[in-house]
Amino acid sequence: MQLTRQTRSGLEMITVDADRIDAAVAIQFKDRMRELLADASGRFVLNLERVDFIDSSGLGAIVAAMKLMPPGAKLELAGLSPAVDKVFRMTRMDSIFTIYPSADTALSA
Amino acid sequence: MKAQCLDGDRLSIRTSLRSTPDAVSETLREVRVRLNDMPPLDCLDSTWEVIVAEVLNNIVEHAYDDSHTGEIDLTLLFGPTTMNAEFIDYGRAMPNGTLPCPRDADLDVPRADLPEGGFGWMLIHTLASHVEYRHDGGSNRLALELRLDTKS
Repeated sequence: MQLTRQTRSGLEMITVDADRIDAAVAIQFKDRMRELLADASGRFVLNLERVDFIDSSGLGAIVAAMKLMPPGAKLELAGLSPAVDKVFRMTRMDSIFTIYPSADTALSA
Repeated sequence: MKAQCLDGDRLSIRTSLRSTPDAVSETLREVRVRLNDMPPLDCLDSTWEVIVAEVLNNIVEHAYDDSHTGEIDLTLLFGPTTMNAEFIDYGRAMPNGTLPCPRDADLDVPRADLPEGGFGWMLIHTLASHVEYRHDGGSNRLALELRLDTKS
């Protein structure tokens, strides 16, 4: 699973370059996020624009990544496709994340 | 995977897969390809995929204890307004022989205590209009019905 971290307009953006975050890649996703968030501070945005499917294991992996953030640092989400958004809403996990419609809106927020 | 068009507007899919997360992923991708070949089923939203994924993942993790050696027989029937799914496995029965009944997770907790799992059955029960389960001799049979929606 390919995750890329870039500094853009003063915030850190992690882009998921995969079409699914499911049970087959959830552990890999969590491990890679742990590496990328090792020195986290400030705002991080997880760009999900390329992801068109998530299951409860993928959702759990994103929550686990959020819990890795040190105090004061924040993991936000951007670019949820309708399918991904629906899973967040049904589990009410949309209430614990700041969610932006796209990576661009996250950058200008 | 065997896919068959019935009466022009229904698609029946039958397949068997190994109890691994990768096989679940591949199976779902293949079903999507079959649906994309058969308008108007190409316009379905992803709820069918979420519910089928959750049941299959549960079989992989719990009925077969992540042993990755089990077999799962899957039948999906997509009609104009509903999907019927049947899952048969030969692993361990559900605890107490019945479907788990999830409670809504408490999200009003410190960040460190937020749940990372337990969403699967909640999604299944929320999405399905009907779910039934039976343990019969050496097999588990779960059948469910889902009302289909198109992409908005």
